[in-house]
Amino acid sequence: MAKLSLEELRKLRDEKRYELDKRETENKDTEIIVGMGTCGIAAGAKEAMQAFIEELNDQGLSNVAVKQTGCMGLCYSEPTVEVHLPGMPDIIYGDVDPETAKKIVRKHIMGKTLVNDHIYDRPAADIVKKD
Amino acid sequence: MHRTVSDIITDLVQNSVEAKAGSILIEYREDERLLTILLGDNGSGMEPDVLERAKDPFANDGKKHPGRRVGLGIPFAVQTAEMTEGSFDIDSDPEQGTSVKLQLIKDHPDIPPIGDLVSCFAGLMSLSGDFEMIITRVLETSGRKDSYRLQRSELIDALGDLESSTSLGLLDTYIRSQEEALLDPANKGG
Repeated sequence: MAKLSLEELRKLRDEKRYELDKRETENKDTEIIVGMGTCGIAAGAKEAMQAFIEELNDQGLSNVAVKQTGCMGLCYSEPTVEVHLPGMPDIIYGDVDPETAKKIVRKHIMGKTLVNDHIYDRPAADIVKKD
Repeated sequence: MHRTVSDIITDLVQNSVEAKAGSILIEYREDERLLTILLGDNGSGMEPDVLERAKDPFANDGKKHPGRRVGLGIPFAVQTAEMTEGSFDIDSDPEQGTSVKLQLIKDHPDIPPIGDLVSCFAGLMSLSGDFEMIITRVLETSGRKDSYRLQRSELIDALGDLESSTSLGLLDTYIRSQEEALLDPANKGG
């Protein structure tokens, strides 16, 4: 691959944006939030994040936001990932290896079906801020 | 300990972001013998006693996770340096921020794998928050010195955002092209 300049990067983005404008604004408010605390990193959160980005691009899902956060307190089930998808309950998935990440894209985001054997209820009780 | 050097870097930089740094400078320098990682931020920093406790795996500042009794990020970096005859230095000041220097001997038998440096850098750039980040990657081998530089504000300007799957895919492509050009022996550098 030739070394890209920022100008070429901008051009690539504009081409993609053109494709994007032609599509519906589907998935605009969809977010995937990957826990990137020490525990998440040690358990492979970066590989999971990379798998999300690759699968979303492979499936042509351009609008999904992939964000990172710190530890959600579920250190025993890292990598943990929170998924917000309009019309679906907010879900925290645990033990998300790259294969599970791809499954979450295909089943949860595209198929609107939960990936049942990886669901965790909510961040650990001692991590949730009490008002 | 963390499985890769990239994981150690991600963990340390995540600390800078959580310390509300507005500016984060990272240098990843590699010569024939040493790997040197420099990190400087202007985040909230630590008082000397807190800094000392941060090196203890069984200490926790009690703020982020009250009730938890471990804090492993910095201890993992210390452990890696100690077991590979490298060095880890950290300075911190509540008014100025924190600076870290991790130096590892490349051919030490116990040095962890580097990991995917490109996805590491892309992940750092796309950490959430309003801050500037500059990553300088330097490669110095016999008779050759080359580098590239990534600046978060320039990347946001070029890509529009660093969150959407499209932008993150392009960010990876862009950084990978910089890294491949750096490692290409045909590239004499400057």
